[in-house]
Amino acid sequence: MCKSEEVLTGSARLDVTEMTATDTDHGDAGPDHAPSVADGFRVLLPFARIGRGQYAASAVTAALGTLCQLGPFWVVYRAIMEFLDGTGTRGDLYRWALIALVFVVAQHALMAWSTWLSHRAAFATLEQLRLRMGDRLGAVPLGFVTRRRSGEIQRTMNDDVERLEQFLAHAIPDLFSAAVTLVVTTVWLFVIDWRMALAAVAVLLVCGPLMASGARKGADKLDDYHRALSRMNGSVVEFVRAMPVVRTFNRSEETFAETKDAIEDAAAFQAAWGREFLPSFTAFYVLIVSNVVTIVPAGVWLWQTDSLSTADLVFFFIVGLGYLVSVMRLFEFSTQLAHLTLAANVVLELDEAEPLPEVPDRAELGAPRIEVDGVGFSHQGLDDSRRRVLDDVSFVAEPGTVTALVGPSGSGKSTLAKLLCRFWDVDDGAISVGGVDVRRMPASQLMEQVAFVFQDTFLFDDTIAGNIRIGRPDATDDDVERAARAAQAHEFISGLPDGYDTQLGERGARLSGGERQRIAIARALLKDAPIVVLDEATAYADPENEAALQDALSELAAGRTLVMIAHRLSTISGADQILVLDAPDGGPGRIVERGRHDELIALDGLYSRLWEASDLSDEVALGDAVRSAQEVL
Amino acid sequence: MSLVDVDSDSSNDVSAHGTPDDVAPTPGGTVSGRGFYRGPVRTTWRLFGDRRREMALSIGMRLLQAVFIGVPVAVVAWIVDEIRLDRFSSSDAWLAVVIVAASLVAQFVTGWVSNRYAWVSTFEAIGDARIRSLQHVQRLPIGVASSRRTGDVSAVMTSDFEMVSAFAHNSLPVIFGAIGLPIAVLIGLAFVDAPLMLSVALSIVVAVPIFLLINRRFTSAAVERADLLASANSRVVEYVQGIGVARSFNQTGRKLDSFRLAVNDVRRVNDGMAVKLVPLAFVSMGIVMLGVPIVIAAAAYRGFGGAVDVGTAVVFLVLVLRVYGPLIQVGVQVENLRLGDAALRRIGAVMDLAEQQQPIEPTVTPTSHDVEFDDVGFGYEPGRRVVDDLSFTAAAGTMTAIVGASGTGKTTILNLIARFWDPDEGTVRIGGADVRELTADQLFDAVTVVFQDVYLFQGTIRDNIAFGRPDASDDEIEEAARAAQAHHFIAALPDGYLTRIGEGGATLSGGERQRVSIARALLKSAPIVLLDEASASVDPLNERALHLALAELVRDTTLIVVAHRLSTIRSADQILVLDTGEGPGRIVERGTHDQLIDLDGVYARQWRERSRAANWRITA
Repeated sequence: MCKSEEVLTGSARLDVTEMTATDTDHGDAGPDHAPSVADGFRVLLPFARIGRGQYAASAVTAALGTLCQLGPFWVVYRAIMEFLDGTGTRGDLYRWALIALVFVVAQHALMAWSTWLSHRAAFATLEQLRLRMGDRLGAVPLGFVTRRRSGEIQRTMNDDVERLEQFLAHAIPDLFSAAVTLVVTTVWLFVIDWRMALAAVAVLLVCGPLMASGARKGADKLDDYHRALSRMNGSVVEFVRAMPVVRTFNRSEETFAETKDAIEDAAAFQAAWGREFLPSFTAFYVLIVSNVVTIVPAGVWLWQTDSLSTADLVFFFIVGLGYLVSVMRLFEFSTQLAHLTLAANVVLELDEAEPLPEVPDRAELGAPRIEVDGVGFSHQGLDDSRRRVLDDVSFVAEPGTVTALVGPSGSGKSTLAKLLCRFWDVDDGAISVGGVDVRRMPASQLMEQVAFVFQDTFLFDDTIAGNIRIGRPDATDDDVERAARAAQAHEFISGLPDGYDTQLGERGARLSGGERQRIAIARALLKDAPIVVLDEATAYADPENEAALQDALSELAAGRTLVMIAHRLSTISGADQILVLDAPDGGPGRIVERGRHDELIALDGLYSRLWEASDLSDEVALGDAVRSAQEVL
Repeated sequence: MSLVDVDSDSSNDVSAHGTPDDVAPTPGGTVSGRGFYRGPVRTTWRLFGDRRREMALSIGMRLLQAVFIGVPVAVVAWIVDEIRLDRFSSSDAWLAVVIVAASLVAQFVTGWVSNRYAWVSTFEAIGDARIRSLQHVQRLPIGVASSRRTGDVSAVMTSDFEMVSAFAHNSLPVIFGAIGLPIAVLIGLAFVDAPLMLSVALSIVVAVPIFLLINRRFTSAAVERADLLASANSRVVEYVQGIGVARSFNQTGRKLDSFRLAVNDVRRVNDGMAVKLVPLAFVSMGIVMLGVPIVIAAAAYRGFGGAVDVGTAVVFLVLVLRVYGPLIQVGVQVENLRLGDAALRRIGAVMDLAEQQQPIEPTVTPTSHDVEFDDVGFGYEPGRRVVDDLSFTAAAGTMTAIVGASGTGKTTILNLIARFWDPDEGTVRIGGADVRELTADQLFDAVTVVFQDVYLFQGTIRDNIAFGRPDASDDEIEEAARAAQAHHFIAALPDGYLTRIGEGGATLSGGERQRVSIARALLKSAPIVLLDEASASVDPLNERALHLALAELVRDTTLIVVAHRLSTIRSADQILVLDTGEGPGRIVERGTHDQLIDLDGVYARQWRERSRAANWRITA
């Protein structure tokens, strides 16, 4: 039903930065930033600490599996020798066939087992990691969340964590087994004949530098490459998102031309990048499997000079050829390493974020009184810059009274309200609840004292009852219903197909803003905290529901210490104290006026101007308003 | 090496799109004839347009490369046989070395040419295809193009094309190369000894249908998994969005059921998948490799039985290992094939949406700036009307307010006038002309839209205001900004009108953004204004300013507004009250404020409620 709204509001969910951050990393076979492998491992390996036994088992099993992979090569070599020696019988060869069969079966069984082990371990690790991050997110200053671009943390918890699976479930067993195989085979070859062994590994001398120079050349251009792709992605996303506006303003051709340019540029850049990088890329892939080119001449020469037996020659022809394939696997991992390391670092940033310091012991609290004393606070920006938003704010909210916070947008009202719940710690001064500094009680105790109803209600993808019960997880069904009744929500909830068991969220019922807000109030009522903070709680109410919502709020406020932010001043004109915040010229917010409604009107300051403005917009018809309002402003 | 990636698709694939099935054809866009998507290879072929020749050349070169890779193996087999017969001379040795070296050079050359054509033609072809599909998107009804049900069009245009690109320039040649070498070797062996060649082919022949069967299982499992994961991931996303609520109820992290269960679900789904699929992943590769013992046994049977000479048996033994290795590469690439295929399906779904028909040259001329709805019915989904029986006229120069509860289709009315969607029934007219018969210029010269959630471009404030009239002078821009009550706050910004907004620039409050967009509309000065009034409350000074800006917008225009504020509603010349009852939204009352109050119906009741609300005060 609400689809209609989405169309006009423009519904592209992806923001440009999101696209640019994630979409350039479709791993081509191309090289990437080349952080040293050791650095990558230092960051990545600790993630395998949970369940390390399983990872170790998986790695060892994988190594056994890849060693079995060598079996058929060896068997074939022996089978050929049976023919060459002329001593073998049909029975001997059947026996070799059987041995090969055992190797093949063992190899695949071991690999399957290893893969199964590593995946199970990885999924368990990711689960623990996500839970830990979820816990951590509840304990860090809220600024950790607000300072980031929208969607960034969600992406970290879902996608970046998921990406670690590549390392945990794949790279650990693959790399270990590739390394073991490489070492074992190399040793084996050297034991048979060191000169031939050198010939077999000689291509590495060429491939190594090729890989390095390819990676370097790629890395030089890689930033440009990503930039061209980002520009294109950004342009496309913006094109789609802006389409409604662009079309209604008849600007389609220009914006299309811009986007087309960006796409063509990116394609041209990719093509040029490919042309430049391809020779070394191709050479590497051709050479890495072509030690035949050194084995054949060396082998033939040594054999002809009688310093190499026929058996050893055949051995190198069969086993020595192509054993470097495992080097290819190592190389491919090194191209993924940059992405994996990046994902790991992003994950670590949240996983290791500093939580707000927490005291373990519950404090003795007095009456529900809020005392804000000389509080100053700065927000940290995206770029770590700090912006002072509150300065020298002091007030006391006595138990059972109403304190209103009013003022223009950006004056710091919401920040102040959130500080009361210790979403952040203040920079200067102190906030105490019940006579105790909020930093000197456990978060759980503070949250028992304070219920917070936000401007934009957040309901979880759960049933209605489940959402209300967040207020007190052990509440009975009766308690839930009682709270819903008090919040004026029982009636519409009962009208829903599944009543209290109606599922909310994407797949569930859609509620109007006012209905959602009343569920949030029921939740707060159920919690029954002595202090209530309302942040613009009626802001998104549809007018039709407003009266019911207000009744619910009255119920919630009754007998509690209430701190309330309101834009519509008439609602708070009966407050015991009104604090007027202002942040002139982008400076920090301060309390510029305080008192009761009548006192503030008499003061004839900011409050009285706000009052007159709101009075006008509420009551005067549009046409008449122009003149009288211009006098006010 | 684990051969098949059990956990299949990349996670951003899941979160960005959900499953391919989500992208069902959208209403308003019926599929015309056969769909765009016709299987991965044919659709890719289609996307390649005039670069098909390069792609074909690339694949041909890759097959040739496979042959050259086979040459050294043949040389080795020949050397072994010569040695066995004790007739390997030093001139033979020179010949062998030269051939091996030459094949290496040939491999490099063919590989390089193949890569070059594959890469360059893919990048260019994908670029062109992107542009073509953007052109297509541009011709869709705006509603269709920005509806979530269409899937995220921008994600299709960016990541899906990127995925197809990766598939086309990387996987496709690798797959052909990996199949090419075994085929080349098998053909060669067929000339040596057909029965032995069949023993080599036996395991492959057995493995192929099993491989296809398992692969189908993988695909369906991946779709199922993507579905389950998308739902679990969205609950994780929700936890982060609701972190404030979670904290204020001390229900953070694993204490919150919905979060903990979502995380558990991710593991459960993945575990289930691993248990089901891991053993399967190794079955077909294992079967292929069983060819080694089979060939040894067959060589023993024929070689010692005298059916073939010993040399032939040896040749087969040397070559057997080179046949099966590359096939394993195919298994690895299948995952990319699957991802590319899913991306192609989503691209196809967008391409299949029907474009909106609009005349290029004017055929009719609106005679006035009246807006008229004539028995209009519309639904976003077939069979589910959102509005029905809408008939009204908004006379030129008057203000019409649309009121009603959420879900009654208020915004839909604006969408239909601006042709974001076209009605299923009835006609929308401007000045007597059906909006479907107007050119884009005619329509949007007449109509301007002020959105509720204002979209501002990354750019300067000036650019944003001048968007409707790029040639406007600075004075005109300032004049519009003043009229929209935006001049004051703009002038107070560090760079004034040249302040950049958006990421890394100034952030504006909701009220300020809406005033910038009103300035934009004022500058364009279209005779018909569609306004979706912001429903969230703003502080009184902002509200006041917005109100004045609106008053400015009203002058001399036909204003149709989805109204939330009492003052706006009251000053309307005509109020349309929408109500759903049980069915679609219909106009249940109409008239001026006073008339509707006298009528004492839905409107009067709501008005009384709201008046009561307006007088409410909070007390402890």
